[in-house]
Amino acid sequence: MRNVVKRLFKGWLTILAGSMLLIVLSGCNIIKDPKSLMETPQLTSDKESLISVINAEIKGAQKIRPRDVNDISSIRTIDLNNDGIMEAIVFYETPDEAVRIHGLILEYVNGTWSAKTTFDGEGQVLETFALRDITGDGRPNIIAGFSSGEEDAQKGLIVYTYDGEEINKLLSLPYYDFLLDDLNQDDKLDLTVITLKRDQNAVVTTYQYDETFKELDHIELDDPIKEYYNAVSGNITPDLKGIVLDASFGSHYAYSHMLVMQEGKWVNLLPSQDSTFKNYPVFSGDVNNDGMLEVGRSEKPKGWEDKPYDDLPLFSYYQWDADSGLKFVLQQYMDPEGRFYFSLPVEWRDTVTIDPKSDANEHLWFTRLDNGAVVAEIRFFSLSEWERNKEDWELLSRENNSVIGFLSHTDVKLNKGEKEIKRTGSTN
Amino acid sequence: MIKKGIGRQIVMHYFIVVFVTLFMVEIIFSLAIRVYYYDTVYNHMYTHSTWTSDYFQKFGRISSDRDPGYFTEMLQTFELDNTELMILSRNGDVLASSNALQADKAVQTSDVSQAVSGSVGKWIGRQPSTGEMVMAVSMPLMERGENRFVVRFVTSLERINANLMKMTLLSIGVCLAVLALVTLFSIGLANSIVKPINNIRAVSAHMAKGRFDIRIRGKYPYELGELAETLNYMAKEIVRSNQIKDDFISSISHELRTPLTGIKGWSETLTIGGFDPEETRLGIGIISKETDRLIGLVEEMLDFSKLQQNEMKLVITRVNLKELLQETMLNVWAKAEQKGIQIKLEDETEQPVTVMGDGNRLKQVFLNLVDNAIKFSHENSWIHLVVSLKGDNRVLVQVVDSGIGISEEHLNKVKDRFFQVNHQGGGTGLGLAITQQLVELHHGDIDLQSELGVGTTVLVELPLAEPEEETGEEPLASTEGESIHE
Repeated sequence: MRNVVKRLFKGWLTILAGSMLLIVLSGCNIIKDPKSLMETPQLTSDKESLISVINAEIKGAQKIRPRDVNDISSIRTIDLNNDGIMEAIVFYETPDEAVRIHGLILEYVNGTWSAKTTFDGEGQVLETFALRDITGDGRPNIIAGFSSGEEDAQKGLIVYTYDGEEINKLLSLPYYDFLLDDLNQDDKLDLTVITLKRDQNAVVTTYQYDETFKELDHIELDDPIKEYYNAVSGNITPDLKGIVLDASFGSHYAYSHMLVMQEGKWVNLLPSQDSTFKNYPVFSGDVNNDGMLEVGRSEKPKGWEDKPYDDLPLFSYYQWDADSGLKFVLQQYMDPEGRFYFSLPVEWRDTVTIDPKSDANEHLWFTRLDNGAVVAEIRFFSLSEWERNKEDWELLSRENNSVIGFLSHTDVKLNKGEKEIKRTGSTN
Repeated sequence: MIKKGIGRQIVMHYFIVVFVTLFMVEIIFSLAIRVYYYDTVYNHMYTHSTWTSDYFQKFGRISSDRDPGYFTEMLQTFELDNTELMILSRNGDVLASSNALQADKAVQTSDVSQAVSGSVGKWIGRQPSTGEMVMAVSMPLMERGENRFVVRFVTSLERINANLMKMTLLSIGVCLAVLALVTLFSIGLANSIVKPINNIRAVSAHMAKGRFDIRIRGKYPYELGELAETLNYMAKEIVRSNQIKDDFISSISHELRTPLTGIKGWSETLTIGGFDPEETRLGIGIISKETDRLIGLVEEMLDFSKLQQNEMKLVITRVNLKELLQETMLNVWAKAEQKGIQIKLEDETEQPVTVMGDGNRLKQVFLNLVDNAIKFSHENSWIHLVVSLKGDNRVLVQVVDSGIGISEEHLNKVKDRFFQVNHQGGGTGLGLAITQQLVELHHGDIDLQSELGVGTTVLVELPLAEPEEETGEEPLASTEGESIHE
């Protein structure tokens, strides 16, 4: 018995000593700050190797992202020359060299990325970076916009093509804005470039690629303005395509051009600026998702005729009708400070207005024109007031220290699912 | 290992208790440390995203639209070391990411849907592309009162998990060490219990083989001490009862021999003596007396063996106890008269006392007691029979004498079978044992109080009979009018 215990003792002692050793050896640094153990997630090995190849290739230069809200990624992978092999394109900058911006093409062969060629960009800043097949040969083109980085400088647009060996410039143009669309409906993309001479005029020119880039048509716009804050292309009528340009002037006034391409020629549908005048920079576009572009306007609610023009506007959207011109589509109330929006039912168009006693920061009454009956209210509540009233009122929006509620006196429901008509909508 | 037995069982019990405890502690510890690590990481990302989104909403760009630098600035504002930052649209499309590549597809994890619905979302899972364990925290970003974007931070948990694993393994190691230590202790503790038990076991094994002369030595604590003491006592008692049995055999042989000698002597004398009528009458008388004595002896032993084997049959009737005592007194009158002893019945009750029992056996009880009292009384003394009622329907009969008394050391033993204070007195030593058993058969108690040289009092307590019902049968051993009417 004693011997057994002794032997056991020996065995246990070994284990004990081993454990103590383990504690002593590893105990010191075992408890770490969890934050120090965080790591950026890994990319897939393909991507990881692509990035490491690029980093090796550009030798410490900085990869650059385009200043383009549509896609700010700096590395794009696509089959550039339509040979079934993926290529990667990346722009990088070398601030100390004469040519600041460079492009790098890599090819993915047998599981590894290898640099194929580099090419030079222009200017200081990469404005946009798109990959579209504009030549119609099945090979995506690199469409890149460069600028000097200064506010009002003309930007430069370059279209590159890649044949598997080297990069060639197909087109190099100054531009203010450009649109890629098939405006003449020949099933090939065309390029519409807007150039703007500040406070003088603007030219809209459309190019079609056929061996080289050829001008289809251009139209001169007599716009002594500083900027087009919005340019969209799409269907103007069910048959015809065109563009809408929103121009701003003065402090916050704006108007729109509606251009349509008929048989390869530009037609200006609204030569007069009055019909699209707005006191807010309303964004035109396909606001109701019916595939046709609407042009936005601001309107005074009825009963507000003697008030300043920029008090409490309603925003209305119109489509072009080939027979009758501009046609009303829908109307929206938007908070001047952007806190909420409210789409007015279509049947309110000529029957309901905003009561003139309304205050945009406190209380809005929507009243019938014929008998003045209130059909709906929008009101700002403090948080404590809201607690008392939230039974009856629908929540419209919540701010830091106030709540905006909606109260309907008819069967009009607050439809949050309804798309906000963008006062500041994007071009896409 | 340790050989089978209590020692092993005790060690096993310790082992199991400590193992289960440590196991639970280990699980709780692992879970707690995991929660701590994950929560810290989550809180880090959460606080960062909260204050940056707050900052961005207050001081950042107002609108994403037509502002080419919007996402770039956003990425700069929200950037957090060691995380991948993503700006997602409401349907999970990646609008911008801190990694340079274009995102493949929309993110559809639960944190994003939570963020879209307005709260901060958290997701722990494997990256679909790399299978890496990650934690994602998504936060809705308000623009003009509406959730337009989701800011999503993703961090890898691989290093944290590896560290957690390391800590868990280490704590398991510590637990094993503790377990080993405790097991060692328990072996020592088990020995402290097992050793005395083994000692006692060894001695009791000797006892089982008939060696009642050996004793368990050494002082043991608590129950073990009691056990050892009991075993020692048992051995002593076995030795003593053997002694008593031997004494009995020698005394009974003596008792049997004395009358037999008389019978044999006289029968030989008569045979030789030519049958002189005077001598013959005397001899036959003595032979008959000695035979009676033998019969009495044998009957006593028969009674005793019947009682021993629970074969004594009682004829239960109602018995008038006072009458029975008077009869008893009459029976021993002659014998008392010889020694000049006065026997007196002291009745302290006011009504007849009736008990349920076998009249003859009860009479045997009292005859025996009074006979004993006469036997051990001095000449010209007295014996009192005292009848009194006790509470809870019991009657107490005391047989009080002023005889030689019994010493304290013998008092406990006089009721034992075969015990005799003085073997020269004759008898079997069964009288009091039989008496006690008979009283117990009647659900009574018998007790002895005595002082050496002063006298002895025997107390017999019997249950009273249930009051007889008016229409009940007339009891056999009681006369009419003496039955109890209460």
